[in-house]
Amino acid sequence: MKEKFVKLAHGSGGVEMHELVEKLIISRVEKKRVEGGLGIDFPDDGALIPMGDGRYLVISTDSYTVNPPFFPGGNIGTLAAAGSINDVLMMGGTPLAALDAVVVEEGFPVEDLSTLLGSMIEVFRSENVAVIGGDFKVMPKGAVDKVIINTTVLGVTRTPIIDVPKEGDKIIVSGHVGDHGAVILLLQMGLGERVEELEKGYLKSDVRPLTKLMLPLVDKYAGHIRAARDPTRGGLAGVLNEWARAAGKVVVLDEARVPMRRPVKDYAEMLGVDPLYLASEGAAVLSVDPSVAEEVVDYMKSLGFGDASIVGEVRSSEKYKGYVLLRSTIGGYRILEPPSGDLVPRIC
Amino acid sequence: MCWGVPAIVTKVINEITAEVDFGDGMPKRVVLGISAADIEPGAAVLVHAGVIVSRLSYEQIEDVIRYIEELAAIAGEAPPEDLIRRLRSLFQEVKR
Amino acid sequence: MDSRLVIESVFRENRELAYQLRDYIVRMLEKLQERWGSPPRLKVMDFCGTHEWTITHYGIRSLLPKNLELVAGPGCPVCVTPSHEIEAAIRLALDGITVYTYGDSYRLRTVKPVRGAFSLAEARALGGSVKVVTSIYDAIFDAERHGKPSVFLGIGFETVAPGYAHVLLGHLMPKNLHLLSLVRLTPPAMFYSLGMLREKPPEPPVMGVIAPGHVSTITGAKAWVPVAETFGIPVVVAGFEPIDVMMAIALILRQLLQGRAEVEIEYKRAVTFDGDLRAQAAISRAFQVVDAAWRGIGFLPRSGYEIREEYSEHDARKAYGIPSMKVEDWRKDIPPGCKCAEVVLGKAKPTDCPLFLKRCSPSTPYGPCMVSIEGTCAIWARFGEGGLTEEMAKELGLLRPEGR
Ligand code: SF4
Repeated sequence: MKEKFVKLAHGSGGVEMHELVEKLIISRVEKKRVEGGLGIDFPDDGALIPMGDGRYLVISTDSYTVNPPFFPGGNIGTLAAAGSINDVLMMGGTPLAALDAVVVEEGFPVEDLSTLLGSMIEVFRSENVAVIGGDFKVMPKGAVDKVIINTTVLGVTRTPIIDVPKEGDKIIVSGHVGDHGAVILLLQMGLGERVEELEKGYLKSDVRPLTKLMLPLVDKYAGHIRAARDPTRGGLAGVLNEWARAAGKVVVLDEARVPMRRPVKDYAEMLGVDPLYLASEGAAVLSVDPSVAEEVVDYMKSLGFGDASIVGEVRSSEKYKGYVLLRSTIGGYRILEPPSGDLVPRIC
Repeated sequence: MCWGVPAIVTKVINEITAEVDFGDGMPKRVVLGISAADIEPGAAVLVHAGVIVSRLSYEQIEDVIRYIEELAAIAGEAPPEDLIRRLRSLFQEVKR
Repeated sequence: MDSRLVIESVFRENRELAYQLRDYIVRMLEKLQERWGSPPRLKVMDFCGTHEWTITHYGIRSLLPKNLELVAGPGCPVCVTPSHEIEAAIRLALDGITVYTYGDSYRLRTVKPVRGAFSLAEARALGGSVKVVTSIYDAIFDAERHGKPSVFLGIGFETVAPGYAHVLLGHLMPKNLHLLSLVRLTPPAMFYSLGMLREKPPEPPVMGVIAPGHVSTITGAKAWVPVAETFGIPVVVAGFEPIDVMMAIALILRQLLQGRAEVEIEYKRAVTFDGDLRAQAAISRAFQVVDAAWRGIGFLPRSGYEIREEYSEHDARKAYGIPSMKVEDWRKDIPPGCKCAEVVLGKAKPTDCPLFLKRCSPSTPYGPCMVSIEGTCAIWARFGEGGLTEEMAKELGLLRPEGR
């Protein structure tokens, strides 16, 4: 192995992580899927297991670590519940049940823990997801940073969305992107202790379950939606690159049409970070049959996602495969590379 | 080489420090690279690595318009009237 | 009206203006052909790494005709920071001293490892105390709070110098925080690289320079007058939005057409001819000009700032006995096979390097030009410069041939 030590960059959802996970896990697993389902070797939000009656069981798991656990717009509890629910939704599933595993550091205030878990439980309740089991562990002080929550959400579907964008597809985003990532950057910049001050700022995480968007959409347009993903770590750039690579296509993105909140843009600019790489926790990216794309956008708007818009399309070329080509605000072109390294601010 | 970001001064604290807003609503302390006498709250400034390196003035739009007219003349083309009109009205707005 | 909105509507997002300028650039190249009797082929050097970033980020090369090439110069303070200095910083971090760094220098690789770490990022993974900050103020704030011994890695060009100077003159740093000055001065580097290019002129020749806008806010455009005079080429001080860069190219061509070779300011919203005299005064009170090592380039006379004796209580070199590099022990600081030295000087393109995107890529950088986000190799690798982007856009029917 090239690298001797695990670095933060290995956890930021970029090339480094994919390489490490491929090497340490995927390549060593022999049975990568249940017959007729979708497994570890396909890049998507979760896995599928056929139920034998035409339906599929949808499963997704994720561990959540955010420091501090409370942040503008939510906390690690809301994130843990909404994140895994969204992953199941993006597979075309209806979330039914959840398992949670909590690891807490010795000395963490019970009151805070109660608030966090209360938020988590409230999200599951509001989205009608049963909490059917879990695990609870405490680690000695210093052995873990405050609290880690893992959630696994199970759902079912007749019409799974297995991400394979087709030529001509339109790329649609459901609304502003990058909000959650901007907040996370803020926390990483060591402003974590100044939570109150942060609350006064304009940056808020967009963390929320997307049930009210995805269930009706899948119901109405299953089959026309060729791919769906929530752009978490790695942001919009990450999702589009994965799709381009998986489908062997070129995704053309029109930068000027990507909806982004002003403060997110400004904050990213201040740090010299490209906001297209910032995570969202309450937005969806879809690849949709062009014949219904406009209609889908209108429908999303009617569901309360007023900023939904078409931001690009899938093209194919003999020579070039697996690229995202970005049309800049002034009409020039550049390649939008897959995410790599941890996002660090720059002065140059 | 030097990533510079425009910001609005919210407070001049003393001869060497000020607070600016980059648009995220959280005033940030910066070092004054230029003289405190040259700025006041509301001024648009350019910040590099936490240092105010310049005050921004948008008189430049006038120059942009002039350059376009001159370049059009050199290229032997009629100046792009619509574009110039839009830039001009923006300039009026900035002046106010 | 908010300054950000003005910048966006005029300098960042105005597609119409961009197309208009492209049109004028093409027209002026045609006029040059009439004048010179042959189709003009020329290079314009964008000295500053942030300009190179703008050019690639907004796809400006894909908008320009092929006979006008933009080449990047040595304007990246991170890429030119000697390995030796980063090694010293890693050593401090591993010895338990908190090292504050900008994000750029956080990933900068050394030629040889220090106790297993090739960069400050790796030093952190090994338990070293390394914190990424965006300004010296963040470091002051943080160091005051924890009170533990700390060093600020003061990388940068003239642009950051007044900030450091005010911090030194005002004794703003707590006793536990010291500044390691790695500030480099740009005019000597521009002179050096243009001089090298004059000795062995590349084909096509460099016929204009886009000068660094933010350095010029401090130094003033006057700093570049000797460049225009000595080399007889137009120098335009430009801002960092895409329209700024396109306008600068147009102004360079206009000078060529009019037979002028002068310093012109495109970036008038921030730059004056004289620069900030008070900032210049503060800098010279706090720092003295010294000969300094530039990674991959050499030892350039009078090209760096060292903290003056009067303020040495804040100097990390004194506090921790970090020697500044002497000409004698300067070595190339570039790993074997890496062409960064030529890339930095605009003599070679990243695609001329056999290691480009093979052994050396943004996720596993080998040479210094791949490390900084602003390094030319990193920029080319990440944004598909060197023709790939244009090729692809054409193939997909998105760009008309010859960019028009
Ligand atoms: S590609 Fe890497 S090895 Fe080659 S010149 Fe650039 S930095 Fe050096």
